[in-house]
Amino acid sequence: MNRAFKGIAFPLLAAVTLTTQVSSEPSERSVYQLVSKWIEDNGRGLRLATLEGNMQLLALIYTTCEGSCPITVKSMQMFSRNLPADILGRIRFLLVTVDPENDTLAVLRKYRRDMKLDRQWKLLRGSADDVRELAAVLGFNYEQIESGQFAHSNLVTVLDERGEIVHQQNDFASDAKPVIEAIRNQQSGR
Amino acid sequence: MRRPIAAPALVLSVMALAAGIGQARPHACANACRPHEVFVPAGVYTPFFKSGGETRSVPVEPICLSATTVTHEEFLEFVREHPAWQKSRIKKLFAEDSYLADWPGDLTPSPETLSQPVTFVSWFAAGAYCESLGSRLPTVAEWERFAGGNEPANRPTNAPFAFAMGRSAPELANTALQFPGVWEWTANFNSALVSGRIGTNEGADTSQFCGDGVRAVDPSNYGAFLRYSFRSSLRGNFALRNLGFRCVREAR
Repeated sequence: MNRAFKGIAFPLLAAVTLTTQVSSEPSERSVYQLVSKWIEDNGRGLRLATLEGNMQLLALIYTTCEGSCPITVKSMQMFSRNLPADILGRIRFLLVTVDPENDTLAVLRKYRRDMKLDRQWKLLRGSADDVRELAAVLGFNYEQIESGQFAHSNLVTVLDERGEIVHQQNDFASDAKPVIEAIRNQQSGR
Repeated sequence: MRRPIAAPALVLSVMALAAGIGQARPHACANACRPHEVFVPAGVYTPFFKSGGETRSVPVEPICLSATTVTHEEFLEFVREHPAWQKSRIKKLFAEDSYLADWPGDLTPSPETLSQPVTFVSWFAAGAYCESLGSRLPTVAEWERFAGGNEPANRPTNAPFAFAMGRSAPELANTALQFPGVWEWTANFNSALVSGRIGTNEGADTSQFCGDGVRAVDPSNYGAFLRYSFRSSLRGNFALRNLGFRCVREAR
């Protein structure tokens, strides 16, 4: 929680040092105010704020999920391969595991290979507390119900270039159009 | 930083039991707690929802628990020392506009409410408060263990939901533990999945949730159902009139 606390100080500092780039500092509603540390499957450390500049389609998953997660990820993948020309290159894909206990970096790397996720995708692992905090920000509910299994929301979230939530939906697998609309709206708003 | 919560704690506890060690830490005892805290010995928590048709029993570690919820006066002291959590300064990600709505100014709760539970506080603010004292919010398992006592046979009609807002576990009946009639934040409030009807998973919105979220262990436990429903409806930035919090520490 002190990470969230520190996160509040950062935009103030940024405002002083980046007065000419006001639009690139985390806004009051930006998820990127969270200063939690994450690790990518390739072993690199990552702060959410470094994701600024691209829109993100974000889902919380775990690799041993047998129910909806594979469907969500497959849908995101289909989506990524069939982007309309006008939004091509504007959105990246972010998967965060809710099961850092079992989803080690090696497991996430294997998942990337098995699911054939390219460089547009980031797979993140963080501490149980940081996952819980990110989930609280997103409104994503999950609970471990037995070793290796979770009950969880099927929420996908669109973050804009500054990390603000601009769209969320539960039935992405059945209808991706609202996500495309959300991305287009962001572009036309700029 | 916050301490490990539900998931890893559960796994570790189960492993510890399987290995035949430590039901409780050897030095965990009432003496570890401070004057305004209540010692809650190690126990077992039975989640409201079944898992794959099975009723689970989750071991819960001993804790020192604040006897009552945080007051306006205590929260005032916190925001004085941590200005980022004052109502004019808090970032919208961490609290909605109603944050401390009953405070006229940043450092001015109403004098007559000073000793009453502070409400209109977000999960982030509640967690930051506890952390500033070296404690944390209780997990759902811990909260239900100490506050999920049996429902009264007759519920008072003047406070229709008070029975669901916490009742001492039987073994804590003679302690200083108090429930001032507000809902309380938990560390992992966003773990419960309530959708559809109680006691069955029919009618659950399967596009929203994966897993079996809605099979109650005891569908007659209306208070627990209300709590799980309430928690599952919350977002971390919510600041509500009847939602407060208390802190806990590991007893050591």
